[in-house]
Amino acid sequence: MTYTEKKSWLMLVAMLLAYGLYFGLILAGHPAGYDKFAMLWLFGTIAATQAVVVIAGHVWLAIGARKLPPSRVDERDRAIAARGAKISYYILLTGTILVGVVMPFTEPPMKIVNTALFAIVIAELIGLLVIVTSYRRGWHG
Amino acid sequence: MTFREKIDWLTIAVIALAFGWYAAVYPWGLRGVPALAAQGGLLLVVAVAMTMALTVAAVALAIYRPRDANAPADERDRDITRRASTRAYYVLIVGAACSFALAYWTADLAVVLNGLLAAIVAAELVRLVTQVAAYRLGE
Repeated sequence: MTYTEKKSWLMLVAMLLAYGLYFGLILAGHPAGYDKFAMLWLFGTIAATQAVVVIAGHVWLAIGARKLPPSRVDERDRAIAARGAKISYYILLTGTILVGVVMPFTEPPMKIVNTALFAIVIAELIGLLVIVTSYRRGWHG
Repeated sequence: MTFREKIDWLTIAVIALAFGWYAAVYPWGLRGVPALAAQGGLLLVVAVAMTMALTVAAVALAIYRPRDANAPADERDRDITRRASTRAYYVLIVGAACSFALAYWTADLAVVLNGLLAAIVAAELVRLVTQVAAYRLGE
């Protein structure tokens, strides 16, 4: 597994755990679902923890990669990253249209905020999933 | 100019005209429910006008040059599309995050809706302009 692929796995797992917990708590009735200060506190704590875990993971991966021959991001890595971003874009575009054009007429502000966050998270997760499956399946543009 | 590039130019023009009109006639002084009602009406007009204009123009272009219209996307087209979407994605994610902050602080849904619309329009324009620039510059 290449260093770039390991980084994608790291971000995918960290995001899945962090936002799985966040949206799991919201669905379980946590005040972050309707109170903006509770939402800011919960989101801030989870996002900061995720950032620390991802940074620590990157450092750990970089230390592990010292033993391997140096590798640079090549054309295939760039094509795979662009493929993931393209799919993420269309998912986020759809989510933004739903959140911005439909929900203001039917839903309260905090539900819109959390749905907008959910759209960003889903777009990022699917983009990362596309990246790791592209590496696994040997996709090369 | 390829069929794809013509469609991109056409879409840029239609988006610019439709949302330029929206920004010109939108009652910026309104807040709350009256503003949402105005937005609902204007968005309906924009959506119908954009769909009609793009469909009619794309069909006319396809009839005029059927071989170009049916040509499959090649490696260069796919590469340009991917790069353009990547740029647009970052614009959209920043725009959505800013609107998310706007929703948090203002709690005015009309302001949020306009913020998200601006983010969508900016992202689509970045994607389309990147694509036509890539075709024009021969990337």
